[in-house]
Amino acid sequence: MYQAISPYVPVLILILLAVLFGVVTLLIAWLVRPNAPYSEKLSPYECGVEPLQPGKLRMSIRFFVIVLLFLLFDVEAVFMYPWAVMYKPLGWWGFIEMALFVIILFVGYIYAWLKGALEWE
Amino acid sequence: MSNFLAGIQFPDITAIIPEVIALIIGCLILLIDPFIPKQKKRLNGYIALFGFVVLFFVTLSYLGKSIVTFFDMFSVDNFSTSMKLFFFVANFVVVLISLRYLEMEDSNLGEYYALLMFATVGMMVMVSSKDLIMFYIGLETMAIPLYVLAGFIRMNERSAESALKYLLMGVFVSGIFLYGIALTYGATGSTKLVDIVRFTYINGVNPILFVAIILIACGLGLEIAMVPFHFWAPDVYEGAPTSVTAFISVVPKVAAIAALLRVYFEGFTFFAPYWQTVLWLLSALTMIIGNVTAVVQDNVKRMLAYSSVAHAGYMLMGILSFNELGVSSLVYYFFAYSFMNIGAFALVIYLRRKNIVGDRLEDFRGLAQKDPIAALVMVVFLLSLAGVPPTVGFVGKFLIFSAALKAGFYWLLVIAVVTSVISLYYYFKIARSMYLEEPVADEPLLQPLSVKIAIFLLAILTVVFGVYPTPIMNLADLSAKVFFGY
Repeated sequence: MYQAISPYVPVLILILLAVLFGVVTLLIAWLVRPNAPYSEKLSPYECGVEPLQPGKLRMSIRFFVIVLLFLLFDVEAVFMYPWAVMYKPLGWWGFIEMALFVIILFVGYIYAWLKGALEWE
Repeated sequence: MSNFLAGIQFPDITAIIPEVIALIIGCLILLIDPFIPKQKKRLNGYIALFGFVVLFFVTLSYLGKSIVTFFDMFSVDNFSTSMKLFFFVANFVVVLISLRYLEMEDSNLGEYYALLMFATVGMMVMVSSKDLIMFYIGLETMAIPLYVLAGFIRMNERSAESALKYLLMGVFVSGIFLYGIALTYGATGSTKLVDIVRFTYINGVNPILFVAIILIACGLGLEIAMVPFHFWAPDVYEGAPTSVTAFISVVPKVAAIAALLRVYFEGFTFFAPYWQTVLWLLSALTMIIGNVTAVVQDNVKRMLAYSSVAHAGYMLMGILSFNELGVSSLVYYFFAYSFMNIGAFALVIYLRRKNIVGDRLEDFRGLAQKDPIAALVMVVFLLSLAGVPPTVGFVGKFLIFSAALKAGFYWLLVIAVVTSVISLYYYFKIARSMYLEEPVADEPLLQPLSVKIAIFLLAILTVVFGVYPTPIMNLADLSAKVFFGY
């Protein structure tokens, strides 16, 4: 029981150190720094220029669909890297599995295309 | 570099043919849906109906086979096969009642049937898996389509609300489930049920696993809608499209209970007294709160939601009995519950007409005069839900109660019987409204044919298998033999 837990003790120490580091730094800064806020200082930082408009903008909902599709096919690429590295040892079996994965995603791509998710208007 | 692959065996692909077929049908519906003109969208539904029939017969040929493959993660046995058969029967009826309903709600899209198919694939994986990670993947594959289905009437505020509530609860609870898996892995060094049981056999009881057992019950408890996690059920059931409610209240619930049963029976076998105590408490609370709260509801969908919470309590009794009769009675109860509960929701769909959802108690007022056959059929379903002979509900309850009796849970049995009596009151509130009150003059009933077929099919099944339960009992006995009696 004791043996099983001990390898994780360094992790515990790391967590404690990480938390302590943050807390202590903030605490010291809070004790040492002067406190003199004024309105320009509190305004959102925009490279020294006066803010042009409020930060909350209305975005077109179209971006949402584009982002979703991008995420999907980006993740596909992530899955392909480990397979590409192990291409030889995995052999035909790996190739077929990956082909199935790509085919399923391809169906999704055709579906998105047919449904007009790639059109802007 | 390649020697770590040397020990890997080629998995037995034949084990997952039903899953692959379901997946292909789902993708096919997605692909041909854009080419179908708007008036003929029903074709998608017919493809799904045909798909479930094909899947039923393909899976039927697996009955009696026993395959464990994919590195001990996936198993085809009589239990998982009969669960899959159950999914196809229930989904067939759900598609049947959806056909006309979606047109009425003006959201007749092919995606509905594709999502139904994908959720079914998730559930099939869930009941077949012998590994906690596989359970989780199946659970998520099932849950994500369900969130979308709950919000399927896009322009309806309540539908969107119910989808969001379902999503938030589901995500939260699946986090808990994952934590349970992590603790199990931390304590035993494996997520495979075989390895967990082996580890606990050699090393004895580990207190971390007590926590893991509770967390896994919590994680599956959302779909089961058992008591600490039942709050989403009434809101989601009320807001979601009625056909989806009929689906959510039956099929995912059964899948989650079947998964819980397998995890506890095959993974945590040596913890039986412990999880029996946990489930005892949960089952008692689920029955009491579900049945008592249902009494004060005046919306039929909400009432049926609480009644389905209560039925989850009865089904948990089947797990905690931990004997052969418990499993076989549970499998029987799954079928019984699907006939009567989908039937009751189908009646709500039957009452759907212009501007009337059909889920208020007033909508049932005087139905016996307007449509005597529909009223009679509804009474059959209500009798069955309350557990009155000669219906499937009676046989199911009788079997489950005798399993609990055999295991010696006398007080739980007392609670179950008392709450069943309470349930008679609120079921008969609907019956009284139909027979003893005068009808209000409003829109005439539409009486769509596909819903009629579904309702009569379910009513016939409810009565026939109540009088002659042998065919389902044989299937149930076969699946119980997976866990007991070699």
